[in-house]
Amino acid sequence: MNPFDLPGPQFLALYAMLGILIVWAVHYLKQKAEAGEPGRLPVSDPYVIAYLRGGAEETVRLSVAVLVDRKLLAIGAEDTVTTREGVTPMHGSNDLERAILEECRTTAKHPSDLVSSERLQGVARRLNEPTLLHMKLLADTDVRARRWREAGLAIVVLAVVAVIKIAVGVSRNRPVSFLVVLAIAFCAVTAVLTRGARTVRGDRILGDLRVLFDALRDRATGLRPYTSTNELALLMAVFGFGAVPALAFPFARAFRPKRSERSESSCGGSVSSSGSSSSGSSCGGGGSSCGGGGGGCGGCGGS
Amino acid sequence: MAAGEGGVVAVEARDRFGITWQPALAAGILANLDRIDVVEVIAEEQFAASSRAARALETLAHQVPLLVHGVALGPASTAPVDSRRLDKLARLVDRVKPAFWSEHLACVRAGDIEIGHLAAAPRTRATIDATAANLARATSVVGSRPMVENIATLMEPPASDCSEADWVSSVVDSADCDLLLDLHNVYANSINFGFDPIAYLDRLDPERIGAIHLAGGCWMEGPPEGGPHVSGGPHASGGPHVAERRYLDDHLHDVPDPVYALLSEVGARVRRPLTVVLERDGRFPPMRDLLWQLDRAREALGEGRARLGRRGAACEERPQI
Amino acid sequence: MRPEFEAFLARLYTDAPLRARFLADPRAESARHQLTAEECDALERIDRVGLEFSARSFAHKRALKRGARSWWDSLRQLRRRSRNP
Repeated sequence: MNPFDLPGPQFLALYAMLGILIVWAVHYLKQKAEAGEPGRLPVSDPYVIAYLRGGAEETVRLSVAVLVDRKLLAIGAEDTVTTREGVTPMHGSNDLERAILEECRTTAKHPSDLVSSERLQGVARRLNEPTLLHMKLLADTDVRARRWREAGLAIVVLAVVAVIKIAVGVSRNRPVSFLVVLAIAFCAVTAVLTRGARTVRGDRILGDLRVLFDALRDRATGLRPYTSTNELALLMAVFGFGAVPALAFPFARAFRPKRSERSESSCGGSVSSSGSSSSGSSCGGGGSSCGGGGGGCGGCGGS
Repeated sequence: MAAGEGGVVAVEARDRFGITWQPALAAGILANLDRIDVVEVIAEEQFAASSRAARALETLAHQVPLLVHGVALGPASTAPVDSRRLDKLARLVDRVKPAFWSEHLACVRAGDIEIGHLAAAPRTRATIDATAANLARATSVVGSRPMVENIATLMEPPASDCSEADWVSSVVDSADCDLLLDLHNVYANSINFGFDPIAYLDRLDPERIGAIHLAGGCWMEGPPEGGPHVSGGPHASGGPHVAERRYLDDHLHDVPDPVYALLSEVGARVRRPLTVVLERDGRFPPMRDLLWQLDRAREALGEGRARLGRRGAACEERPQI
Repeated sequence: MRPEFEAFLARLYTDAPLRARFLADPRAESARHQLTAEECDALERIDRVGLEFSARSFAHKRALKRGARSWWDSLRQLRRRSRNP
């Protein structure tokens, strides 16, 4: 029997099943091609993690925050930052920090201006992207090409089937709007599967880091400015600024978009398609006291 | 690292220093992997982990060598250890591929009675044989031999006919397992029951010592009514055999000085590479303090190894602990 | 060591009324649990102070395992996480 001769409701049901199958197939092929063993990660480098989570903007934002916590940048009037007296770019521990220190040496800058600086984003990209591409945590051109090939084929199949039936329906004066909507929806979902700066492996690693560092969010209230920069940086890198309590980093206010920008758009720019980041909203966490592992061996005498 | 038996990878030929995995310390641990060689995870905490957490553990295993440490198998018992627990251990070891796995020489249940933690078994020939049999069964199911750890106890186990050191040595020998020597447990028991911890070390076969645990504790007071109160740290006034008072291995305090001295003594006796793990389960100090304790452990072990290297025919004066 | 002796020890650690009766008259209580004369002798010489400390310590551990986190702690954490995903 010719499926294109099926009555509308039956064809819609068949098309829906076809669409679900095709979307699942594209998803499955993506998972199979991009998953893999996690491998050794530079987990001691919060900048790499921040780049994985939120791209170049998030990395610059984190770097500015780290420099503030390390007392290399000072927060001044109107939430601007300047390089502290006696500090030179050579005090930075990588090219990005050095570039930021250089940028703020003679002129006070608002953190959001630093974050949106194409030059600084370029430095962040050069520093971190090659590592993540090499580890196959970010999608390179080959990965994107493969995604588009698979999704493209799927969209073509979905579109051709829909167009044929639409043509038949129109010729018989039958309504076709539901089919049009369904076809557009399935094509859109398939197209969405091609997006994402991270690979499946990169998504997994980020998810795993969030699990591994989960308890840090409770302990964050115990962090204090200038004393635990490494832990603060990891917390920001994995969860974003929103996870950092004000007590741990009282300067978060300075990392919000400037007043003029805030009035135009919602704050906290998401960075690239790779995921959310949060701007410097005031603290998240807090509430529970820090420390207190409830598990562990618990002592062999026990209490 | 080379592949070993049953999913376990072979130990490297150098001393390694690590810490127990605590979620609250995750950032500090992962930010300092240049100073942490191994991380020890508690097996039972992983049994109940979600699939996401289990997957995260595998990711962790790719970042730093893991050790798996069991706390609830209870091999020091006449009863066979629980098969389901062994199966879970086997799956965990297979998934995580630790450098080694370990368990305690303790009883944790009898029949359907769960004691709640690690209880010392009576030190007799029967318990030596029973423990060895359980460890043999565990080795068969998990696919690799565990290291076995001496425990701290607040009570001298009744019906015992040998010393703790001799009992532990006999189990290690009968089961053909290596010893995870918990030096704070030795220290705690020496305080509570009045023996010389150096003499304890002398009773052990140094070639059987494969790993070390370090921890801290405090005094536990026993008022007539109600629960025990905890007072001060190990350096509070008081000594062994004080009535209504026992020293508790709680893993909530810093490693006391005498334990580092014992570690140095171990270094002066043991030639093989050792894995030294700092156990801290709560009341966490800043990470830098924990790293400092690891550095101190490195120094202590190094000092002992230097003595071993220098020792020839000369006798050395035994230190007082 | 017989399983009966091992089980009795476990009960001493975990059963407060039994432990109280035992400490009042160790031989009598041991005999009531089908232990041998040798085992009763050993238990009569038991480290009583240590037994009390151990029992209290184990009780605390069992309580921790039954769930240290209250429903309120769980709710607080849920609220905190929803504010900071």
